[in-house]
Amino acid sequence: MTYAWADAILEVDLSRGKTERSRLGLESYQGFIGGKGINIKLFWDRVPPEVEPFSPDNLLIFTAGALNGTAAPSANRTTISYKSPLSKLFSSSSLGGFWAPELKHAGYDSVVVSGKSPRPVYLWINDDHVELRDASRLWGKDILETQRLIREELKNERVQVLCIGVAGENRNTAASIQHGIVNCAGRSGAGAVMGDKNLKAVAVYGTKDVSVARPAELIQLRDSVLERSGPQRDWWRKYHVTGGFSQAFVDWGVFGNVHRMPEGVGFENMEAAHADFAGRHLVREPACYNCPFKCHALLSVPDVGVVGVKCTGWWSFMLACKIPDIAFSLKCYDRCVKYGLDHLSTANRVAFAIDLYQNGILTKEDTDGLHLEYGNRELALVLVEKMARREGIGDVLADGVYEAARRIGRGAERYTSHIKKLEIKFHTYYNTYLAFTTAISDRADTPCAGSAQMSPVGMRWDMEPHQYIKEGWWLFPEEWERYLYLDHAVDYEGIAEVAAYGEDVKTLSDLTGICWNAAGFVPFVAIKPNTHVRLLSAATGMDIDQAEAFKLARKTRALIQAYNSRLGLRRRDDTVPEKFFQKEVVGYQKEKGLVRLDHGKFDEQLDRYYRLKGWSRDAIPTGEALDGLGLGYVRHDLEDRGIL
Amino acid sequence: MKIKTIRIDASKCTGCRACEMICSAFHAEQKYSIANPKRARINVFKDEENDVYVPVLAGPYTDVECLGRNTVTINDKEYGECSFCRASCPTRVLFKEPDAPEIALKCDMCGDEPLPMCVKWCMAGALTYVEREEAS
Ligand code: SF4
Ligand code: SF4
Ligand code: SF4
Repeated sequence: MTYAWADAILEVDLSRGKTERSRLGLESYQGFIGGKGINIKLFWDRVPPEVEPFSPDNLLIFTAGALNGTAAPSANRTTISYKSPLSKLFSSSSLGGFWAPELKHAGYDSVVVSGKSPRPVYLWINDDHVELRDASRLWGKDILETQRLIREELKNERVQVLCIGVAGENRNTAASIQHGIVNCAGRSGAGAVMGDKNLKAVAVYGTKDVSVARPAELIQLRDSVLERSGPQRDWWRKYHVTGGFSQAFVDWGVFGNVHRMPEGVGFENMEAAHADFAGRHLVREPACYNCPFKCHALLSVPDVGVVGVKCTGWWSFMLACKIPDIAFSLKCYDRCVKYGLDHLSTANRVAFAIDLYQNGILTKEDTDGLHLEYGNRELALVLVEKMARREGIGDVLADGVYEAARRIGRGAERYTSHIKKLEIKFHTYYNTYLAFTTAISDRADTPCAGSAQMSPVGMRWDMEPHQYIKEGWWLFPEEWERYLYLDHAVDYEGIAEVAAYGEDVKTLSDLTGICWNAAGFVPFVAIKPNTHVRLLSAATGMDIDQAEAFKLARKTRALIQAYNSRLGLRRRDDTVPEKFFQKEVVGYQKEKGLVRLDHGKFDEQLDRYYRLKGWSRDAIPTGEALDGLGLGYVRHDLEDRGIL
Repeated sequence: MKIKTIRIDASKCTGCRACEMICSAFHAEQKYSIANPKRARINVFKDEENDVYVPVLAGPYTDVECLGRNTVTINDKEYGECSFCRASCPTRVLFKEPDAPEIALKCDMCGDEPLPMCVKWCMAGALTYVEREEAS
């Protein structure tokens, strides 16, 4: 009997219109645990490196975490993997909500989609009944309408749906896959791959049991986590309502327009502006499946309606367009959500286009007659729409700033802000720790979403530091107390160690499906690594300890690195744009005397980090490290290709 | 007679369905050995776009559908005739064992537990338990 896992995958061949349930084969997959781990293993086995992102041979894999569907708290993440049309690397995006637990209850760990449908379809999974249904009347619909229409068509209010919007249909490389009102697998173009396959949505309804190996132990662990969940719940409430999130970013000195940081955006007091808005418009703080936290906010925004938002959704367009108006920012954000667009890349692309125009690189001839300028509200919405539909200038921008700069030429490259071609968020690079962890992340993304940990302290914790550690809230080993302020520190010591450890913990989340918010991202970590591993053991019967679990996390991470090494990923790519080394820092680090990021010290930490990972100086996993992780077949492959 | 009541404050509900999960796990043949919200005796009706979240506890079984139905309009949106109904009724799949639809699911207030499970583990405080004495 298998516990927690279904030990089944649903294979979907869209070219032939065929679906088939098959065994996952836990004997080979158990060491990859779930989510991202199962995805990279399937990718390694089935997708040769030369397969193009928009090829029928590219896979789009949706996998539940090992703990999804069990009583383990906050275990609800779906990890979606594919070769990214943006970075051209193996990439994963994940989302919370209700979809992955539903998939487990339908009796599958994973849905593996290959091929390309000749016409728009959606996949309907109702336990053992699986069907590809016509989606022509859904094509062109926004993501909320799509979900509503599918529920109506299937006459079932409890169906869980993942879908793309217009942007995915048009293969915009910022296209997301959305679920519910707020859950979004946003970055690196998952939605574009889905659109390329003519797959509008995946709807699931499952009625089967998910069993666990040691029920009493699991429930006892669950109870103890919930009993410790109060401080984090209060923390979220506080930061939604008071806007402390916004202020924390300002204090960090990591807040500003992507291209012209650290220019401010006009609010004297970010916290007050945020709090005022939330006070007037917050209607609810919803949560994902079986989660005691309520980390997102539902806001009733004038002229827009109910908007579900978390974290950066509040500010992306405000910063990109230099318009200090939260309502405006949320309106643009909401438009992105409905089109199924990652608002972060999209906001970055808007700012990029405006910069090009302002510097004479784009003219009215290139922009369909539009005058691109900061501070113009209508313009932002027009550009978003053009990108979603690939109209005029939107077509060029829909491929991302890296590709767009190549097509435009005339020095446009200088105005791009991306890491490994993924547009950067606007708030992280004036801080040595964040710059570093973003550079090494497996998705070139800010650490909250990539593979590494955002910050040793998450955000502000409003508790005396020693007390904080004594009460057991800190994610890292107690003997590392000296690194507690690492994200404010001006020297670089400890960055590699903390980043490597943080990455193990984060990867574990990506395998078990327990949300990173619960297991590490924010202060008052309710599920520390030790508890996390015990939850995994009790549910699956695996019986591993923290060291073994971290080793499995490193196995997944090494396999991703090896896959991407075959695609040419090297040390030179593990960096942030040069302009961030050139500009002066602001915020805490400036107060402490740091002037700017330092190439030499950054490189030293990179060497250390690679050594800790068992990778070469050029970021390739070594044969010895691969052997040690049970990845001998990967070593042979890299040797055969002359990479090792 | 002791009347057991669960008070629902829909405005506090986060829609997390932890109540459904724990209800199903608690009532499993071997306690907590499985989870399956489709076996729960509580169901959270949700319409995120319109901010409507209503936990509904499974009421009595009925062998025929009712004749007098009602609709409910909230913030200008009209909800179907069965949306907030508690009955295990032949017209729908809700509140029946999924693998044995002839068996109705009905909230039993978790038997002798001092506190119903859904109330105990609703961390948002949307459910509260109230007991009162009433002359029979
Ligand atoms: S912490 Fe937030 S994102 Fe994570 S599971 Fe809970 S509600 Fe969802
Ligand atoms: S546990 Fe509470 S907050 Fe969560 S869905 Fe149930 S009633 Fe709502
Ligand atoms: S009181 Fe007990 S039986 Fe009734 S819905 Fe809540 S958990 Fe289920």
